[in-house]
Amino acid sequence: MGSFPGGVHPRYEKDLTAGKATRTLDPPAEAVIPMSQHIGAPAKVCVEKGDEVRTGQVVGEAGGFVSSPVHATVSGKVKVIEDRPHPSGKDVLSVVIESDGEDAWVDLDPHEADLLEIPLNEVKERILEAGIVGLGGATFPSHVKLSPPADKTIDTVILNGAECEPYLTADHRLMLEQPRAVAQGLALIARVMGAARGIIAVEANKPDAIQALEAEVGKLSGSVDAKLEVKVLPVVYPQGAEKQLIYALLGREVPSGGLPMDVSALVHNVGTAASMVRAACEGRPLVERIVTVTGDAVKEPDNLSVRIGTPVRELIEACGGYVDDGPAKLIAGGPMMGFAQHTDEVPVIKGTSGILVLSKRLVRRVEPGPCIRCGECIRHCPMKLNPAELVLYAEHDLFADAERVGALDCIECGCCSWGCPASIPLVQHVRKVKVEIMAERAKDRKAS
Amino acid sequence: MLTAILVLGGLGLVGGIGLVVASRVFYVEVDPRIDKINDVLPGANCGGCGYPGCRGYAEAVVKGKAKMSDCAPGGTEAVDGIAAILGVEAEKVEPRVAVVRCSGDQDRGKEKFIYDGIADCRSAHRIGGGHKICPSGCLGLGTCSAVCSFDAVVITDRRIAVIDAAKCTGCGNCVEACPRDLIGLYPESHKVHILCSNREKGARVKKYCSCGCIACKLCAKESEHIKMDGLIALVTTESIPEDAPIPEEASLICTPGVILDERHYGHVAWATDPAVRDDFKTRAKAMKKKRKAERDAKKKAKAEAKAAKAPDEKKPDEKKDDEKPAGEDGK
Repeated sequence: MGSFPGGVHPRYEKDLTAGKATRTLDPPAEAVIPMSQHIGAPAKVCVEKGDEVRTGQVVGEAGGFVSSPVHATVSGKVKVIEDRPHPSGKDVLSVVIESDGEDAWVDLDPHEADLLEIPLNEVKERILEAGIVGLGGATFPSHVKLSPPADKTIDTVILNGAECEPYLTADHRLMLEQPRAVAQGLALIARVMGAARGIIAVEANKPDAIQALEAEVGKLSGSVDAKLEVKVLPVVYPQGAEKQLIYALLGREVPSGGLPMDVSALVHNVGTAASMVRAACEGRPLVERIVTVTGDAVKEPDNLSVRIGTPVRELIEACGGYVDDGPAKLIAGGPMMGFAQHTDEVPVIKGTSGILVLSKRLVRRVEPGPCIRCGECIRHCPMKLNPAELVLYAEHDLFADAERVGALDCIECGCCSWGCPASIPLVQHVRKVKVEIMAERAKDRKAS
Repeated sequence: MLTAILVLGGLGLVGGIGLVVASRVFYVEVDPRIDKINDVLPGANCGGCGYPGCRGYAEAVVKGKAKMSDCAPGGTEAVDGIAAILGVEAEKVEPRVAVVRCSGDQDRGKEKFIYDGIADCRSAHRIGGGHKICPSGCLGLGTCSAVCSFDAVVITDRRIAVIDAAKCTGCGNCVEACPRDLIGLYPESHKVHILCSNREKGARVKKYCSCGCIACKLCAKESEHIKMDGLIALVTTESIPEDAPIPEEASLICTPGVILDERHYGHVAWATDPAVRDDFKTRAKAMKKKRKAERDAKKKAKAEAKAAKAPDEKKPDEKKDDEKPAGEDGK
């Protein structure tokens, strides 16, 4: 089993939900569909207040190449189009749909050909139209990843089922319950990219999922050109980070400032791959996803399959509500990279892999102390950076120096902050530096 | 012993001659005015002029690259000094002071969550748009005070940045630092400042903060120098003449108390001293009472005049119509 330098071993707490089968939640009475559910330009609203929409109908068109359409996730009437709270913390333009309770779908357009016979351009088109983005949390539009520049070749496609983020089990359940869709997704992406090799990478703490996937991959291997396999990885955070995953599996290092395609690799999340299969075969848009609702401040942690746009409050109610002590912190995503929320009125969006509710017992406010030069952050950093040095530059606004020592290579995994005995929020400092460097660059571009 | 003295003395002589020759051959002509100008500058090296330190600015002025009025901390003194050294007429400049256009501290501006990160407004601003509900509210983490070379920015106990006009030199470093663009530089003659930057509708502003500009336009009616820019009032006149100042009523008329009148209260006291606010409220009340009395007197006089006129030429129902405009005035 290969791995990467650095990384940490936080408490995983996956037992809370790993054994619970995914439960499908009824469509919400009111769905809030934000226009920004992906990286890139926000979608453009293409319905009006009062319009009748059906489930799966496009309500926002892609606002550019790096963008993605968004769809209605319930059928009913557009109640209002306004700024609503969003997991990013800001208010974002959203289409609010009042459900008629019918859940009447648009007419889907299943492809008559077999999955592996569908022409490649049609596959890409269907994936774009279905609004599929990276479901691991980064929400990068998938069709863009499937269309690399002509001078790049991809020899290996990797499906990321590592799910290294503590607490989350959404991908685990998906791999266990829909192994066929995941394996087909791998074959599909490998075919689109013309890759000779396809790997599903899973951390060793999900033996049941590994078994299920191996069986499905075995069934498929005869019928496709690419060599498909399931690889087991050691359990270490951030194993599921793109660059770390490629290094652990292939021994290739993505160059600084580069992308996986620079080392002929392509990584997609397992959930994304399964959605791609549904889009290509059935023409089914992305309207639902699996969300792990977990933490010690929710009564019955569970894995839920919910419509996008369902308010987080409803998910928590479906899991028995908050414990009597009340929640201290609500996080969209996992504890390492998730975003703390100030209200449970935010909707589930395409990138919401989990809702983590922590009690007072686990949430502390600590005043950061001075750096004691212990070097823990350097030891943990999977990108081989020197976070302590970056913080020094950040504190003194020395952005050019920070750039020189690789600030932009930081993947914001949080290992340095996790391990800091002085509780210094290192990642936040580096984030600040990254934003300032990018702003400076944008200014320079404008000037020249 | 003698040899040693001769050798060392000889070496010293050779070195000395070398230095003399070098100083003659490689002499760099330095404009003596640069040193003189450097002496009249404040020497804080704040960088507000955009040049590396005071000397860098002095060189730029001599070369004609920078204006002699670019040194904000130096003020008129520096301008006069530079003008005398360069032998030209001094440019007329009105000194500027920085003002934070927000008064929504923790008591007034609502917060949407507890921010528990590094004390830097730029970082806080990025996390969910900042912890203040108001998107243009001061986050109060002191990024502006960190860049101030003159110790002029005060962060109050209730977390808002306030600039001490007496210490501010108008260098503009804080203006650059604020991620929310809340700090502006205003001519010294602007004694009245509108301490809000939110350009949203009044109803929304009221939800954010108890002291936000709700665009009621009352202040704009009091002074020609105040104009509405969309949904916010701004002091638009560049330099306010002494003989036509902004009347103090412009500040007193504002119901949320957004407008600071520096002729009565310093900004720091305005933000921190509850007695100042109480005094403001009493004065505002007195002013409104006086206005009402004046209006009532006017109305009464008008009605009396009409009553005197009415019996001989007007019918009773016509008189009723005439009274209406007077009633509207009184609203």
